Amino acid sequence: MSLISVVDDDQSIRESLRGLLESVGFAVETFSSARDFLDSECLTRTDCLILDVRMPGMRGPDLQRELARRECDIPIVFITAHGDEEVRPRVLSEGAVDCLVKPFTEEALLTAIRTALPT
Amino acid sequence: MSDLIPSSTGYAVAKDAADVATLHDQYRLAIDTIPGLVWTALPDGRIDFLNQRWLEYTGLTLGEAIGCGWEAAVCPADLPALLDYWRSLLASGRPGETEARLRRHDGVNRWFLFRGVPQFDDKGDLVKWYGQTVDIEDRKRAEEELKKQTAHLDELFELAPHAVVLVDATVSVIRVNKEFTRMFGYTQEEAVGRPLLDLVAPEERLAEYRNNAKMLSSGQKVESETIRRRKDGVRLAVSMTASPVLTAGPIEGYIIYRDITERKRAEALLAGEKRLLEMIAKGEPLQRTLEVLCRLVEQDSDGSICSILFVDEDGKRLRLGVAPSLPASYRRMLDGRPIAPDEGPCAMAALRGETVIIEDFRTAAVPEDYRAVAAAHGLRACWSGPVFSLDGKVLGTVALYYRAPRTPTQQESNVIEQFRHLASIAIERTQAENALRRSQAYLAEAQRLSLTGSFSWRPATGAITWSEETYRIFEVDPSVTPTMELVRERIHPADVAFFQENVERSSREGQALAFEHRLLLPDGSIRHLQIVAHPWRNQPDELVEFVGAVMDITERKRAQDALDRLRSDLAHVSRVNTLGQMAASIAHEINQPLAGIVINGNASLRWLAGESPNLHEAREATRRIVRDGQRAGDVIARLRSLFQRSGSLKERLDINDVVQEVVAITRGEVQKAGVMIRTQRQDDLPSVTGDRVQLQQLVLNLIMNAVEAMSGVQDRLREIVISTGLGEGDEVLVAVRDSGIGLDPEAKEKIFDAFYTSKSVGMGMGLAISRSIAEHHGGRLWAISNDGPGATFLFTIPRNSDSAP
Repeated sequence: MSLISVVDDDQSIRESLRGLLESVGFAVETFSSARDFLDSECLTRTDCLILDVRMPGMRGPDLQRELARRECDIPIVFITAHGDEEVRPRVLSEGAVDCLVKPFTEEALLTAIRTALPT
Repeated sequence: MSDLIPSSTGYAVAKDAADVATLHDQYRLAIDTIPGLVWTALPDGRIDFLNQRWLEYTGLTLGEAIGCGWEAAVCPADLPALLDYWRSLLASGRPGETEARLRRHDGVNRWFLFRGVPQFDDKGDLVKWYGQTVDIEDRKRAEEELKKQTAHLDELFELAPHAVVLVDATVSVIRVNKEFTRMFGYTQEEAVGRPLLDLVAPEERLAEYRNNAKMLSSGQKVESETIRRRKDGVRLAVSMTASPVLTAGPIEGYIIYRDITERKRAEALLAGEKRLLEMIAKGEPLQRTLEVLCRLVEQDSDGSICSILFVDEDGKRLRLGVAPSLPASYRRMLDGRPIAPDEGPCAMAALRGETVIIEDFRTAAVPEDYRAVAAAHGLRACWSGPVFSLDGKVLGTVALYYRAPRTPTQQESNVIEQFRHLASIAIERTQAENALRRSQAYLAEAQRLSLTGSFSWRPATGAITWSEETYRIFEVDPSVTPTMELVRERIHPADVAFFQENVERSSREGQALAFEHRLLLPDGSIRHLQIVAHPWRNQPDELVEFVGAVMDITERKRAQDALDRLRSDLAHVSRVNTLGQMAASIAHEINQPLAGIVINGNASLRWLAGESPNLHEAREATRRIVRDGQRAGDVIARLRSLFQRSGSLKERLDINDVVQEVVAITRGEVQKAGVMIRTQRQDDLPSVTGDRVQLQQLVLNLIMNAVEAMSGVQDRLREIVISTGLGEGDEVLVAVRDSGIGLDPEAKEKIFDAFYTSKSVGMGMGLAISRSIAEHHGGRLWAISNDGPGATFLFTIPRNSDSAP
C-alpha cells in the first residue's frame, strides 16, 4: 500500500485529505509543518507528498528544495490557495508532479497522485 | 451932578440945577433898573457908587461896599489879580477889562467881566471911572468845556494808533501826530509846512494828487491803498483815508495813514505759498518749485539772496539744490561741502539741526575759502536753517545772504521759519511722490511677474478700479472703465451664478471675498482666477469698498490638474494593489475551508459508495464538512469585525468643529467643482462622543457625494448647505443639502447598500460606509428629497453617547 504524506498547516485540510485518500485506499500520514515531516521516519517511506505552498516557518517550495538537496526523490503534488499562482511554474520546473489550486476536484488530486506513484 | 453924565453920550442935556437933580435921579433910576451891575469910582480908584443890582447881587449895602468894601465880594483867589489889574488901569488911565469871580449873596461865585472906562474933563484930567460888571459865567463855562474838549481831541490826535496829518487847501502839512513822526521818520518841525507830496513815492504822485483833489473838491471822504516813502527812503504800504474838515474857514483835510506793509507782505507771502503749494500738488519738478520759493523769499526780504541745499543720501555732504541769485562760483563752492564742525553756516545748520546766524563773514569762524568767496561777491551776512522731514530727519538747509552785516529781526526770523517749512513741504512731497512712483512701478512689475492684478470695488456706487495687470488678465483695453457688467461678460457662463452669489453675499454681509472662478475670454480660451478681497470701512458699520487681488492661476491650475491626474492614477494603482492583496487574503481564508468541504464531500461520497458503505467514515467526513462550513462563516464574521474595529478612538467632540474641519479641508476641492459651500451652525450644541476621524469621514463622504450629485448641474447654483442642530430627543443632527440631481424614489434605500452605485466611477462604498459609521456611533443616516432640486442627507449622533460599541 502506497504511503501518501500530507504537509499542511491547516488541520481541516489535513483531516479532509486523510479521509479522502484513505477512502481511496492509500495509507496516509499528515504533518502540520515541513519541519515535522523532515524529522519523521516517513521521510524515507513516503511514496507521494501532498505539500501546501504557504505555511508558517518552512514553506512548501523550501521543503521541495531541502528534499532535493538531500537527494530524497519523493514525487510532490503542491496544493495552494488562491493568489499563489506565481509559485506554480517554479515548483513544476523544479520537479513537482502538479500544483493544484484549492478548492480542487477529487479527480485532479487523484490523477496527480497516480501520476506520481510508480506504476 | 452933571459931571456924572458923560457929555458925549448923546443923552439929554440938563438945562438947570433942578433939571440936573431930576435928571440925576432919572439916570439913577435907569441905572438901577438895568440888569447889569454898574459902578463908578473916583480917580484914585475908590468906589463911590454901586447900582442896586450890584448890591442885590452881592448882598452888601451901599455903605459896606463903598470905597474898598466891594473887595469882600470878590472871590479871594481872583482878588489879587483883579486889584493888580485895577491898579494898572488907574495908573495908565486907559479903559480895560478883566475877569474875576464875584460872590453872590448866597455865597456862590460866578464869573464876571469887570470893565472900567475913565472919564476926562475938558482939561484932560481924569475925573471919574465908570464901570460895568457883566455876568459871564455861562460863556466861561462854555469856553472851559471847549478847552477841555480841545485838549481831549489833541490827546486823541496825538495818541491815535495811525499816522494822522492835517493839511491845508494846498495840501501842505499843518499838523502831524506822534505816530506820523514814527511812521514816516519826520519830526513835527520837519513835517509842518512841508508839501505832503514829498512823502509820496514818485509813481504814486498822480494818483495821490487826484485823491486829494477829489477829497478837497468834493468834500467827500476818499479811501485808497498806496505806497509812501519814509524820510529814509524806505517804502511803506499804507491804507489812506482822506477826510475834509468842513468849516466856515478855509478848507482843511485830515489824512489818516495805516501801515499795511505787514498785511501786504503776509498777503504776498500767502499768494506765493499758494502758488508753491499748487506747484507741489501739480508735481512740478522740485528744482523749479524751489527756485520759485527762493524768489518768493528774496522778494519778501529786501536785499536777501536765497539758497537751498540738500543733504546727500548718506548724510555726509551737502549738495546744491537751488540758489538762483547766488553767483556761479559761490554755488560751486557750496556744492559737496562736508557736513562737519567748523564748516560753513549751511553745514553747521545741517549738523546741529538749528538755525545758524553769521552776522559778518569777515569776523565769523568760517573756513577761509568760504570767507574769500563771500568777500569776492560782497556777501557779508548769512542765516541758515535746517529743513526737517516730518519724522525729524534733516533733508537739507535754506539760507539767506545779505550784502551788509546783520542779524535777523523777529520778523526775519519768522521768514526763515517759513522758508524752512515750505522747503520741507516741497522736498518731502517730491521725495514721497518719487517714492510712490517708484513703489507703483515696483508694484506694477510685481503684479506683472506674479500675474496678480489688484482692484477696488465700491458696492454703493458700483465704481470699480483695476490695475494694469487686472486689465491684462481680463483682456480689456486699459482705456475702458471697468463695470460689473463687463466683469460678468468675461466670466465663464457656468461660473456666473456662483460669482454673483459670492459677490452679493460679501457686499451684503461686508465679509471678505475669497473664491476661484473661470473667465471665458473672447478667443474661447479659459482662464482660472483666484479672487481675494477685504472690505474697507470708514467706521465699523460703514462699508466703503472692497480692495483685493485677482490672481491668474491658469498655469497653476493646469499644473495642479496634471498633478491631480497623476495622484489619482497613483491612488488607483494603490487601490488596485490594496484590493488585490485583500482579495488574496480573503480568498485564502475562504478557500481553505471551501477546499476542506469539497474534499470531505468527495470523501463522504466515496465512503458511502460501494457495496459496503463505511457509514462511520462518511459521518466523520460530513461532520468535517459542517465544521468547515462554520469555519468559512467565522472567516466572514472576522472580516466584518476587522473592518469595524479599525482604529476606533472615542473622544468628546463638538460636531460643529468636525463639520468646520471637513469644510476647511474640502473647500478647495469643492470650489474646483464650481460648488459653493456654506454652513449654518447652531451654536451651543451638546457635545457627542465619537471617533473624530470616522465622523470626519462621514461628513466628507456626504460632501463629496453632494458634489458628485451636482456635477451635471448647469442651470442653477451649485450649492452645499451644511446645517447643524438638535435632532429629536438627545441627538445632534447634521444635514447636508445639495442642489443636485436628487434621489430616485425607488433607490432611496438602496443607495446605502454596499456596491450600489449610480455613478460610472467608484465602488458605491461611500454611503454604505457612512451609514455604518453613523450606526457605529449609535446614530442614523438617511436621505430625503428636497422641496426644490437636490437631496438632503441627514445623520444623527446621540449626545455624549457612551452606549455606542
